[in-house]
Order: sequence, then C-alpha cells, then structure tokens
Amino acid sequence: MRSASTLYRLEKRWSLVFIALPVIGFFTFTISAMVFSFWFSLTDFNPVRMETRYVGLENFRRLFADALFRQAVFNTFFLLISVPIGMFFGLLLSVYLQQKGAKNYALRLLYYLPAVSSVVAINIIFRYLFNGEFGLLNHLLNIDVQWLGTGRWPIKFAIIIRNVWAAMGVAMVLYLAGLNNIPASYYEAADIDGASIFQKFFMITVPLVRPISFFLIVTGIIAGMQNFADAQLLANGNPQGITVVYYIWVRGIDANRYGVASAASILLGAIIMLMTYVQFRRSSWVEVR
Amino acid sequence: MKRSFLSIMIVLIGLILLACNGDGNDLDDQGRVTISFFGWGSAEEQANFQTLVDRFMAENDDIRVVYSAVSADMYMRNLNNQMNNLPDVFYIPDTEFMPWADSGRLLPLDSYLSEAELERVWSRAISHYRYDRDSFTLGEGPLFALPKDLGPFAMVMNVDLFERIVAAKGLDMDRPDPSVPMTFSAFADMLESLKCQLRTVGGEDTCEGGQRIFGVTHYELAAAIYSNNANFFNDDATQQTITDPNFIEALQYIANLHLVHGVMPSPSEQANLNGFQRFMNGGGIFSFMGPWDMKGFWENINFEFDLIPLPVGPAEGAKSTAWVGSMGIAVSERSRQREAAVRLAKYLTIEEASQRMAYQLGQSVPNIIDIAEDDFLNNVELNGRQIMPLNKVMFLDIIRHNAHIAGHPRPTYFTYENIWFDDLFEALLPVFNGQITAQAFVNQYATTIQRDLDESNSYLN
Repeated sequence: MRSASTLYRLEKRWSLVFIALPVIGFFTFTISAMVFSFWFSLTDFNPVRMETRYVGLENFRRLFADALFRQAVFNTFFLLISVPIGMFFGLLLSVYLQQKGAKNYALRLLYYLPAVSSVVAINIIFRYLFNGEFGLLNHLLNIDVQWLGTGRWPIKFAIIIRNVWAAMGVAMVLYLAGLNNIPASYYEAADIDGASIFQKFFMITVPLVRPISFFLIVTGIIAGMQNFADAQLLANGNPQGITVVYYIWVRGIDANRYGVASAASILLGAIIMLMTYVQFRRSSWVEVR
Repeated sequence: MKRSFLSIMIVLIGLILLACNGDGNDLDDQGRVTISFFGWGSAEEQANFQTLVDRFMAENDDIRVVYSAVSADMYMRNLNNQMNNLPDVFYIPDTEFMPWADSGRLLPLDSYLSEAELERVWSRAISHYRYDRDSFTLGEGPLFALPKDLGPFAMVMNVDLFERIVAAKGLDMDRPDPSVPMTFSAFADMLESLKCQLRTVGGEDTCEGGQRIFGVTHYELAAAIYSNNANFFNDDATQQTITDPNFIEALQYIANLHLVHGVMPSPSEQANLNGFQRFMNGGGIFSFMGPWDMKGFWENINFEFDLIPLPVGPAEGAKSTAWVGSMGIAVSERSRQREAAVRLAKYLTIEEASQRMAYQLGQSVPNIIDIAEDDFLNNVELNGRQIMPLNKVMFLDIIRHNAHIAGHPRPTYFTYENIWFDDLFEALLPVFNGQITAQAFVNQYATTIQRDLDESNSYLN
C-alpha cells in the first residue's frame, strides 16, 4: 500500500504533465511565432529565396510609406465604431427581452444565431444584400447606394451594419445574465421615487452592467482590431474596406513580403496590448459602488 | 511508477519522431518509384489531369504519381507552405516564375530534352521559361519549366446579343471584322450605337425599359496599354514608362468607356459583378476570354460566342496586342526522382496525347504547333458547341503574331515582385471614377511606381 506522500508525489508529477501540454503548446505556437515574427520584421525574409538579409527597421519605414497600410489602419479604427453600437443595441434588446419574461426563447435564439453562424456564410449573404445593382437592401429602401463600390464610405458603413447585427446577439446574452443579477428592489425604489423609464435605464441598468460592458468593449476592440473576414469576403479586398490583418495577409502570405507583414503584425500586437492595458488601468470605472 | 511514466514519455516521443520521418524507400512493393504532382484547377480540370496522370502511369509502369490540386487562388500559398519539401512536379504560374527560377529551386531541364522535341513547340512558350540567373535575364539561359500552355487573353463577343440589339435598334451594322482590328475610337463609337436596355415584348426585342446591356463588361489594362504601343516599363523593367503619352492615351481610353461613352460598368458596378460573370449572365456584348474559358463557355452559357481582334490605339506603330498568360510545369531541384519527374512534366506538356486532350477538353491551345494549326483549328473530334469560338485562329494569331495582331506576356511576368502592379491597379481607381485625368495621375504616380520597381529589382543582385 502506497503512502500518502507517494501518492502526492505521483499526482504532482502527472499534474505537471497536464500543465506542460498547454504550456508547451503556448510556447510552440504562440511565443515562438511572436519571436519569429519579430525577427522576420527585421529581415527581408521571402520563402522563395534561399537567403534572408537583416534590414534593421527598413520594413517599418516601408510600412509607413505604404498608402495601403495607412488606409488599413484608418479603416480598422473607424470600423471599431461598431463595437459600442453593437453593445448599445444588445443592451436594449436584453432589457426588452427581460421585460418580456420567460416566453422569449425564440427571440433570444433568433438574435443569438449570428454569433454561432459561419462568418463566411454571413458575409456572402450580406454581399448579396448590399449589392448595388440587384441587392435586397437597395431594392427595399428604394435607394441607389453602391455599398460594395469604390466610394470612400459606403463599404465602411456596410461592414459596420453587418458587425452591429452580428455583435448584438452576444452582447444581448451577456447583458441578459447581468440584468438578471440586478435586484428588482432597485427598480421598485426608483418607481416610488417617480423615476422615468430612461432614468431607470441610465441610472440603474447601465451602471450595474458596467463589468459586462467592460468585458464586451475589451473583447470587442481586440476582435475588431483582428478583423479579417469582413475585409476579405464582404469588401472583397476593396481598399476602402481592408483592415490591418487583411493587409498582413495580402502583403505577407500573398506577396511573400513577410518582413513587412511581420512589422505590421508587431505594430498591431503592440497597439492591441497598449489599448488593453489602458482599458485595464482605467478599469476602476467598472466597479459598482 | 516512475519507470512507467518514463516509458510512456519515450513511446510518445518515439511516435512523434516516427510521424515526422519521411518514407525512406524509393520503390514501392511493385517496384515503382513514387513522385508527387501538385497543380490547381476546378474539379473538372482536376478530373482531366487525373485522367492524364492515369494514362501516364499506364504507359510508364515504373512510376506511381500522387496527384493533388487546390483551387487557383489557394495554389501559391499552398506551394509556399511546402517550400522545404516541394512536390517533385508542380505548376509555376509565369507571373511567379522569375523569383522561383532565380532562387535555384527549379531543376534546369535542357539536358532532358532533345532539339527535336523542342522544335515542335511554340518557340515563345519555350523561351518564356528560360532564365539566366547570372544576368537576371528572362528568355535566355537554362529552361526551368515546360509550358503547360500559352493563353492569349482575347476579346470575346456575345454574337446573339450583338445581333439582337442590332435588329432591335434597326442598325445597319455588320459584325466586327474577325481579323482586322478596330481602332479605339471606332470601337467606342460602335458600343455607343449599341447602347440598349433590352426587353422582350411579345417575342420582339426592344431597347427600352429592360435590362441595361453594357457594350464591354470591363477592359484589360495591359490589353489597352500594349495595343497603343506602350508599356509599363522599359525592356529590363528598371525604369517606369507610364509617363509615355501612349500609355496615358490608352489609360484615358479605358476610363472614357465609362465616363464619356457610358458603355462600360463603373468601377463600383464592376465591384458588384465582375466583368466575366456579367458577360456569362448576358449583361455585356464584349468581354475577354482565354482558352481555359472554352469549356465553361461550352457548358454554362447558351449563346454563341466568338473572338474578335482587340481594338488598336492611334499611336504610331501600334498593333492589336493581347496579353498572353502561361503556366509552367516545373520539377523541383531537390527531387529525388528527377528522371521520373521530368518524364511526367514532358508528358503533360509536349506529348501529343496530352496536347490533344487539352484542346478537346476546352482547356488550352496545344503547345505542339502541328496539332494547334491542324487539329485545333480544324476542330478535329470536336462537335456541337465545342467548335466555338469559330474564329479560334485569333488565339493562334496572338501567339504567332501577324501584320495586325500580336501578343505579349503580362507585365508581372517581367518583374520579381507583383505588388507594384496590384498597387498600381488600386491607385488607378480615381482615374476610372473620373476624379482625376490619366495625365494628372501618371504625373503624381510616376515616382511611386518607380520606387516599387526599384524595390522589386533590389532582389536581383
């Protein structure tokens, strides 16, 4: 019969194995990729060529001289507008559904469907909807907007509309969970004080779901900064709708300029980390007092 | 327990190493060497090539070929991912040829080919895949790939649509001459007179209140530039030539087809539906096609189509010049089965059986001159819609050149990188949208394209 200490040591050893697997995976597929990416950003690495030259910060210079990159950066930040808009509509929906009570599973399912649907399929369908010649949207609204065209703004608004639609469901589900945790007595007290529906919404609901808003905005911004599918499938490479990740794809994977693409990746990673850091530093605003 | 833990770890590591290990045997149990062949294409093209590969294996029972393929847009990414373990035989698009030949990854093929074998093939197709690694010169030096095809990108006409509109508008107009090109202006004028919103009422066609038909669905940039005796750069691709007045004139001609004449979709309309699809849907009278489109046109559209010469610009010395694309079939320099791999590459490119199959399946113009000029032109073993386009001699004229017609490789064939062309094309949108003239555009873009060319050429030293 084994002693307790032997079992403890055995369990400890196996626990290290189980911990090691994801850690090794993380170092192999994430950390090493980041290190390689950083190294590539300082070289002219091209997989076709047999040799790789160290070029210092030349790739970063090329990056900022590239009008397409500047366009991609502007687009990426502009398209982040869809994050707060999606959260706002998600919150409205959740309040509405909560008031409807328990008989709203069909609606919840309906609004959440975009979150579990294929991004590729969604974008292809929206491409048909937004088509300027035979699209459903122009037809229903009796307008003539070339959503997918070469104009500066239409494709951006098309992407924002699509993203808001897709983000509402996730926000709604999370907000619903948050709303269920708000004691009804708060609203009853507000009713006694004669608060209007807007006052209750902005003075009770919005502050009490701040932790969820914080989570949604952090994850939304990170996801938005990494947006790729919209640029590739909905914008179909239209320069007015491309994002930084799409730029990394076309310059790195398509054009074999891995150095420039890696430089863009390093910059993007740094920006995301910085933005997340700032949000966490300012996270005191999520504390509910 | 400690021992069992160590044993498990050793077995796991052993399995991983085993999985990473390649097959060291060169012969299979039937005594055949195995080679890999990687290509691209639609499901139909893959099926055609599998048939060719099966025939090859039947005729070469000492070789087993493992054929795999992906879609065209995924191909280069896939090939790049296999860089350290390239297939024995693989496609190499001519627009990617220069960096690959320059890198030393492609096996020089001259020693495997006889003069007699090469003389049967279009000389342009052979020289297309020669590259001198010392002087960085295309068209000279060792042969690094064999041509899968030469693909002239010609102008195609929806004959039925043309005749319906001519009849509906009561025009006294013949079909464009099949061998003598129209001028830019004559072509634009013709398209203006063919403007139509086609509608069928009581079996009669009318040009009011119906579907808007575009004269031409889009226009190939290189086709207009080349056909006005201009180019994107000088002979060795070191100096841009977009400031040449001939270039500017050709560029403005394309823009004016939409802006002035209203006979071509705007850039936004082209983003809604690309020119090729619009043509297939019957939304345009003229468009562009390569020989690889023949099968799709035979099977997926129901109108008669035919080829006409590309319009020619007014510049002195200008000839109707289409771009000619090509795909090479290369052998990896690291292939352990070079002889077998070259045998397959030759079979797919310069053997009669494969060349006959290629045109009969509507994939390409035969590489072998005799088969192209006899069997292909005379529709041997073709019937029904397969004899279209009737004016298929146009494909050959573009390859052979004559007094009026010529062909020229795509601009990206001549440069190490292709980014300059992608960026140029995107930068041209304001010209095509009418926000800036071609003259103003080239004035402001000349330094950018020169910088891009310099960056591309920086690899060649």
